[in-house]
Amino acid sequence: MAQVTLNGKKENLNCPLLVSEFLLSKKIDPDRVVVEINRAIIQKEEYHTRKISPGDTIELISFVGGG
Amino acid sequence: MNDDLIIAGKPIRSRLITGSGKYRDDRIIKEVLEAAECDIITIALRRIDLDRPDDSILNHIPEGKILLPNTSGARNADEAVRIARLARAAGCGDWIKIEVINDQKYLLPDNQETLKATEELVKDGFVVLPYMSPELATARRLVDAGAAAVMPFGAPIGTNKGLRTLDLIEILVEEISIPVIVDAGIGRPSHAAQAMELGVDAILLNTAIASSKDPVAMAQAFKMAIRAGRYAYLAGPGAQSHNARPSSPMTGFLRDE
Repeated sequence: MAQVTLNGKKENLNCPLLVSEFLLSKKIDPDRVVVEINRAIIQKEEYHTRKISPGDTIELISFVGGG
Repeated sequence: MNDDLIIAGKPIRSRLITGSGKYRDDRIIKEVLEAAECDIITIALRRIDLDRPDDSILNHIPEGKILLPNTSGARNADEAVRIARLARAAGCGDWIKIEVINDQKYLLPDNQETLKATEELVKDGFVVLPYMSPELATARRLVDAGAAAVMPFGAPIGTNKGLRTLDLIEILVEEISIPVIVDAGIGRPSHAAQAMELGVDAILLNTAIASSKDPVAMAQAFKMAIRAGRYAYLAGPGAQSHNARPSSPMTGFLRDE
């Protein structure tokens, strides 16, 4: 288990973990989310190769209603 | 008559741009968009709700609309640039509404940071539509920076107060060569019609429709008002005068002088 910061909160994950596996575990549609790790945007084509590491700061962002 | 609004070279049929926030039930948005017949809709970015990961506003927006993400939540240019890049990474195109606000009481935009963000994002290939305080010098700098439009407020966001900045917006319409879109404060169709009569190019609104008792009917009312205002502007309203000017001939009266 390793600790990461997910959307501002501490969370324990089984690392190493691919971004694609992580999204699947959270039941998140990869096409409906933007993933940022340590302030860098992860492109969708990298989801199957990019690993989440202990200490990472992860932001999962999606669209909401707004004016 | 073809009277498309051109933004960044793209013809836009509707001069009503609507927001997607504050609806009692997001499922009504499709119907509102149909009634409004709008082509552009604004959205926002937030952290995903991990308890409801499927809950995306995009589920309620029909295909073929131009999505205009805003940078709401940004307090300075750097934050606005970050949000803009996240929006683009999400795959909804290059259009971005810059919103830089560091005043939470009145939600008034920070023109200096807005200009900085615009300069940066234009260089990065975005079509930038900045929400701004109606101020001529800033508007001119935004044009020079390559903004696709300027979007002055009529009144503070969400107030429904109407065109409190009328005189300043009139100056922008007269002096600024790119589209001028009134964004925020418009609360009634009459406000929108008045702005369009002045020569404003489009209206961006959210609260006025979302907070009404019948948002679908209100969307239709705004659509009609904006068209009416636009047609009136193109028709060229007659001059106003202090004294009365008779509509009937002042000769040949049926009376003895």
